[in-house]
Amino acid sequence: MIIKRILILPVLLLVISFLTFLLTSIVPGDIAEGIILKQGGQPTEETVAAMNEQLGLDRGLFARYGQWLIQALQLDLGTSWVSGEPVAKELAERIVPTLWLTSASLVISVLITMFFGTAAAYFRDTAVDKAILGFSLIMNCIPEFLLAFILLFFFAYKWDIFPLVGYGSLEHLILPSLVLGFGIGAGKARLLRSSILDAMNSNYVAMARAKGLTKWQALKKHALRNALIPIVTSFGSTVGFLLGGSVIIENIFNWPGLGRLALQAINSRDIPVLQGYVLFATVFIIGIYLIVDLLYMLIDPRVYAKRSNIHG
Amino acid sequence: MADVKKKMNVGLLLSVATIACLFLAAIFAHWLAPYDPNAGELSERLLPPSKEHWFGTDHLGRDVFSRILFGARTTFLVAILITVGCFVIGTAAGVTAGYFGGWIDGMIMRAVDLLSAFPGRILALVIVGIIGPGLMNLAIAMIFTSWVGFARIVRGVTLSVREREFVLAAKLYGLGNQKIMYKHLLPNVLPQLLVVIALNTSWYMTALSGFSLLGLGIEAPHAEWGMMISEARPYMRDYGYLLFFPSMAIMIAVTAFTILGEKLRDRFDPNFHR
Repeated sequence: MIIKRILILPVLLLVISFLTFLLTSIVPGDIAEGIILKQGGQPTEETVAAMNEQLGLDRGLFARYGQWLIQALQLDLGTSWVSGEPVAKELAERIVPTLWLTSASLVISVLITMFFGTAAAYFRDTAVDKAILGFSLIMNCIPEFLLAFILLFFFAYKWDIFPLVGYGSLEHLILPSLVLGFGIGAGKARLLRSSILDAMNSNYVAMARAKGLTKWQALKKHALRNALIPIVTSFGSTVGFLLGGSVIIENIFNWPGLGRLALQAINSRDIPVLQGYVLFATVFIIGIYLIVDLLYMLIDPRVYAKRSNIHG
Repeated sequence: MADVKKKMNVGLLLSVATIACLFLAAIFAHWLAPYDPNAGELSERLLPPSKEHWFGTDHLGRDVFSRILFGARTTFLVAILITVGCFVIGTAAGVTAGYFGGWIDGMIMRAVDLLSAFPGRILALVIVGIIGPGLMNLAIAMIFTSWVGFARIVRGVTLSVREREFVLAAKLYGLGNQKIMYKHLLPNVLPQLLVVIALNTSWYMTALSGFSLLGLGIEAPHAEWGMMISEARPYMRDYGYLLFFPSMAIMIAVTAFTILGEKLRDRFDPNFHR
């Protein structure tokens, strides 16, 4: 299953990048016109033709796509239509902020998931469980931008504890990563709770309890490990999404990451940057799926055993 | 056990009632709204909530209550558009794949795998980025990324129903493939699809507001909750109510659809335990 997913991603990469080319080729005149207007020029027939030639839009779709693909394999993603900088360089500058935000939100969300998920499962059907479920339902339903504004309203405007927006220090990192971490962690805590409860009903946990283990020991040593398997899977796609740059949060907090770059590229119709971004995000996601696959073997030795059985 | 069942119904009832109210507000916005949602009176800008303006007025002097009603209309319109699109494409693909099997199934499911491997939000953003902003384009991007969920469920149910007696009987009776699909398969799929529709709707609403916030959704004068929040941002320090009311609208709508979806799942999906 995971192998299939990893094999499918390069295909996805090809399909998406080709789709990008297909769609942009439908409206090349508009793109050239738009760029000329942005640079303060007059879009006449000649200037549009010249711009099309400069951007390479006068050549056929497949010729352009082939060239882009060959260059991309050599890590040359072309130059931005707006800034004239190499796309690879623009992307490289944006990775670090996105990595910071991703890792901080990931740590927070893992802590929330583990803490709330196990607590709710352990105190099943008590007030603690209900409070956690209610809280995480609300957290799950609040759109992330809303949580961002609520936190900004109190922590930055009213109480002036954290800086408003921007990038550069640890204080700047706290609010955006709290927003992302809570939003992600709340949903996964609910998932972990039901996953643990399923595991607690199984025979091996009953066996462990019969051996004399306390409820907590059985949960920690036996149920949790199995319950974590679906959670790890779901974290895989979450990290993929985070590494693509959480566009909304990065824009609200003026965070100079990949998501902000993508929005800037969209607003200025900077297709090479957008294509580079898609390529980048996909490569990241492939990497994450690989890591998740490795984590699987760590958590669940059966996966590895099963696979080696199948292959001989 | 009886207690659990009673509680389930309360949540279900509350969420259905909330959705019905919001839906009616959206349909009858013209009659319910006390003011024109897009006409501002600059002399009446940034008024706090009062008898005349229940939710106050915004930075252009527009009535916030009226804008929220019309915002509900936008939200529901887009959500319905996306749901219908996903339903048509997803059901057609799922039934075809499950009913015919073989290479048709293989091809359709490869496309589904391909699309669901990539985070939907990034994909939707890129598609909107390429085909341009606007409500219709946003709906297209969302349909493109979320029909796969429908297709998967429909295919699964179709596979399990295909060999059942009533379908075989219909086949023996000489009913055409198309008739069998629509008369006998669809009714079996609907309950599970309702769950997906309810849960997905909450994500469509969140996404619509998010895209509007980024300037990729609806165009400026029209009312939309996410855009109202984004417009309120420069004034949020002193005029918190501008942020509060549209936020509550989004929260209530999204929560209602999430609870509805989860209650329906408890009811229809025997494999899902809470």
